[in-house]
Amino acid sequence: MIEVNIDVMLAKRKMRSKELAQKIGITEQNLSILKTGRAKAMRFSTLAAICKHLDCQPGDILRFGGETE
Amino acid sequence: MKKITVVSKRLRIAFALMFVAVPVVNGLIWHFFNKLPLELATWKMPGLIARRYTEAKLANLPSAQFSSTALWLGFLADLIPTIVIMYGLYALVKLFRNYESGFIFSTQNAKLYRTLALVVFAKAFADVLYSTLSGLAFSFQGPVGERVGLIQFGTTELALIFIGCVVLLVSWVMQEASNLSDEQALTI
Repeated sequence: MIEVNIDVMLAKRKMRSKELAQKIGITEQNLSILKTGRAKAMRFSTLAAICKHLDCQPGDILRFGGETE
Repeated sequence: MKKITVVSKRLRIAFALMFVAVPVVNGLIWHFFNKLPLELATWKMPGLIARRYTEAKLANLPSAQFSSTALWLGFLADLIPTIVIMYGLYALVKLFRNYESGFIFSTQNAKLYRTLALVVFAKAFADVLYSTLSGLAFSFQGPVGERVGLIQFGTTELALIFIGCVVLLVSWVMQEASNLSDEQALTI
């Protein structure tokens, strides 16, 4: 499965989850769903917004690994 | 969405009222059975019994009056389809309460549609059972040779089975819709 690891980039950019959620236009709850691996899918627009505001590449926050569904 | 909520509320109230009215009306019909007009009385009878009753009623024969034992037995037989109908109305109240609250595509609603399908199938079976038991109830006190044991399965029961199949398919579709809705909710 695909793991979404935003916490490392948030720490590097010294940004809080709430601030990132507001900037990319999603709720804090939805961001939490992403961070905890409960999301079933992510829109490209959401991924693009995260990468824009964290100044990173998709590969910096996405990783293939862990147990398959 | 508002349209769904408003109409669902009205339907929920209507089905809730029917849930109370059905057993009450049924009870009243059986209580005043011998005083009912011909059309209403024959509505509760299987076809063969209804024809004999109509002839007896028009000729003002004593056999057009049923004893309290016969009416009690008929009432008990009628409880079978009545309970099935009431369970279906209960499921409809729950379904439209969910719609009223905005829960449209949910697993619970899919299960309620499945329940309704089973209720429709059960109604067909209950009607067959009722025709047999009510035929006995209406005729057991008659003279030898006039007592009737019957099994009635007609276009009504066949239609109920087809409708049940359609509602069952709808429940499967609603389950798929629920899965899609859950996936949509977890798409960020």
